[in-house]
Amino acid sequence: MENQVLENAVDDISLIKNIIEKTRKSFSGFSKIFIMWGILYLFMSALSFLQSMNMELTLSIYNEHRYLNYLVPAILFGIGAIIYFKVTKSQPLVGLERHLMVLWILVLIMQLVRMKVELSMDLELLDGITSNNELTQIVTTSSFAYITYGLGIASVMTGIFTELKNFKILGLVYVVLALIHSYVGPGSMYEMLSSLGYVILPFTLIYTGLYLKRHHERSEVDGTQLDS
Amino acid sequence: MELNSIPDIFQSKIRIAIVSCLLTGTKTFKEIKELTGATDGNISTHMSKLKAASCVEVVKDFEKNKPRTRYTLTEQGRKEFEDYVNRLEEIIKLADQIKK
Repeated sequence: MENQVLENAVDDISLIKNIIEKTRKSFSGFSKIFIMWGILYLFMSALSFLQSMNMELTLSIYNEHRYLNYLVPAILFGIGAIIYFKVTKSQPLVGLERHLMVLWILVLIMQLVRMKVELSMDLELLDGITSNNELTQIVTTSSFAYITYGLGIASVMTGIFTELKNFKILGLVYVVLALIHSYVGPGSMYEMLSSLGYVILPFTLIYTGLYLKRHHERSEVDGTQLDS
Repeated sequence: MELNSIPDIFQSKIRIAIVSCLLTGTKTFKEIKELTGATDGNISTHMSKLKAASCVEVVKDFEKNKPRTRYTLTEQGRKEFEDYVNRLEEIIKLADQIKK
């Protein structure tokens, strides 16, 4: 067998593998969706922040129009779905970006999971120990810890699959923040972490989208150019 | 195996690269350009040859009122490419056996 034939065969196989690998690691559709979702969540976070600043007004509106509790997440979900289908129609997700999208969607669905708090008191037992006024309690729940933990898992997995260190570090930071938030008592640290809840999701989506987009563009510039 | 047993259509690195990136699905001209790193002129020339050989189908439509061209690998193109890759693998296996 001529050496030239063998060399050509090896070169061609290597080229085919290289192109398929590049296609598999292309994140153009994925990053576009993430950036748009991030901007969408940014609006939602601004709205949530404004609501928390005007708690009494917000509560009165939500008490009067209870359907708003479901309408707002439904609108958010609807716009997110439209963005997803519009982008994937023109740029179908393939290979790794498709698998990662499934993982991230499952994590984002955690946003819709509501924390249930059930209070039950044995009034007979409490009779004589405390007055009725003292039974009035305000219960505040925070979903920061489990949302951040979910984002942490998704970031670490993205880092493992894409072999990008940044996502692994970001994911580990999120896991630590989630654990701190879970165990720290009320105080300035707790307040600070809770306020991070407004920006952590949009930040993660925009950061992931932009980083993968820029990384892909850089690897294209560094990649082999075909001239013949 | 002789060099002339390889189909003419796959005797160009760019055509091999174009077909390889179409294996995973339909692509736009821009996506093919990004993946292959070839120039516009080169892609157009080789794409015409792939179309003439019925290996690639072209779909022209509009996205946001802008014309868009997408390329898809035909069944015939996929089969011919698979045969070609099998031939390459045979060449490499044969060379390994000769070495041993």
